[in-house]
Amino acid sequence: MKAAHQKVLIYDPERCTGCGYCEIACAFQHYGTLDPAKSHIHISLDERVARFEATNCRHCEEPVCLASCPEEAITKSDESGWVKINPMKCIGCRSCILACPLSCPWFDEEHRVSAKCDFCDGDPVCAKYCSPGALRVVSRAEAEEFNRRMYAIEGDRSGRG
Amino acid sequence: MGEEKVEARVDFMKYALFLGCLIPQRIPSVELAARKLFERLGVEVLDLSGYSCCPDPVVARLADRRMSLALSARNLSLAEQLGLDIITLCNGCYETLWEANEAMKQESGLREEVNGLLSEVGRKYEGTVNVKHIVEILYEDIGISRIKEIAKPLTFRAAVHPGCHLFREADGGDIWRKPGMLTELVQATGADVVSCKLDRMCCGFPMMQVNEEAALKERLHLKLRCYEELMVDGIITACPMCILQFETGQISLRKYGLKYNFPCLHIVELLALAVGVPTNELKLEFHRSPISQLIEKMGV
Repeated sequence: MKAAHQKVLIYDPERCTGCGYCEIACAFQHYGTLDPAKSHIHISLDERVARFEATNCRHCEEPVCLASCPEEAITKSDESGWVKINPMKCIGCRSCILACPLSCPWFDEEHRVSAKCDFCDGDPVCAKYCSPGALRVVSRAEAEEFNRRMYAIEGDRSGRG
Repeated sequence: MGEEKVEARVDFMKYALFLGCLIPQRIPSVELAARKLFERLGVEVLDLSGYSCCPDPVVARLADRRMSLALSARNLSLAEQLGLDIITLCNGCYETLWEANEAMKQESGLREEVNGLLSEVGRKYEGTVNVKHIVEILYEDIGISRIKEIAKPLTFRAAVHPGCHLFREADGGDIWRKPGMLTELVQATGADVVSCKLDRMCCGFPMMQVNEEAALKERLHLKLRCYEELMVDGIITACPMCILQFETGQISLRKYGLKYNFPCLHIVELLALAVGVPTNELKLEFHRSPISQLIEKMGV
């Protein structure tokens, strides 16, 4: 698949209410629990500017988590572009967590392996249950355009241009 | 808009009232206020006899999508039988029924599957009902001008809390459409609506079920602190879940040394007061916040 066509998530902080349903839905989908600690996506609030931000896997074109894995437990699908961890191969060394600039993979203490977003095989529950539509599934090309626009506005606001 | 035209519109306003679970069980004053307000505005509502939980907009759908849709479609079929659109007084019920209705209307395969389940209880849903939130009925069908005609001005500083599910729109829709209606409805009573930088933020109700401390300290407390800085007299919302969170959450926050005491009302309660329904008829004592303090401030 061409990188520009790959389906990814975009997050619009101007729509997010911080309800946490994305975290609850993700944890339930993957672990059958409502505990947000078991979610692959996290929403945080910067109180100073009253703004939310999401930490979620971008399913990078050249994933550093994959490059850092000593056991080839992380793969990127040629077909979909999604980056996944095979828990049967993971040795729990946490290299991927350190390598990812956002630390999107996290250490699942219960199973003693790293875990991360698997894009719910194309229909991510975090986006499906987001009432204000802050999380949406789009192509990487659309996501890049959205982020360019959003961060250009942010740059203008902060004076960083 | 001329008065005659307004009256003509009011004459044929008839809806099926979906009360959900929280209002009858925890805040029945909201139902009472809605019925008295509808009476004053010339709106006729029929009860949905035999309705069930909507059900929950997230967990029930996640746990079993077909079960969730079957319950929603059964509720929708009760309104369809009456030939009426549904009004909800709750943001959660709104999102559940709206989403299920869209799915049943747009996905014919799914509709057949769900109707297969409904046939076991002798019901069928054809997809002819519209699901409307109470703020849409008040703003679009009744209109601000009609409400202003019969409302007596109230004097208080209001914080408007829309609640997360009120932001639900079709893909790409303006998420402030319904919250904007809510704000204008509150302003129509003469209230001074203050703007808080955290107006959009969740009250913390959904998070209460999984992480109470975070829900209280990282959501509710931040909103209430903002309201305190703005010297708000009362919080107006359009959702019983948010009312429950504001009212019982304030009490729970005391264990962390955080003390707030804001009154909180549903929009139908505020409008019922504005159109002159006597306070003793509204049974506002069902609330768990200092409503009498707000009533006094309003000058009702």
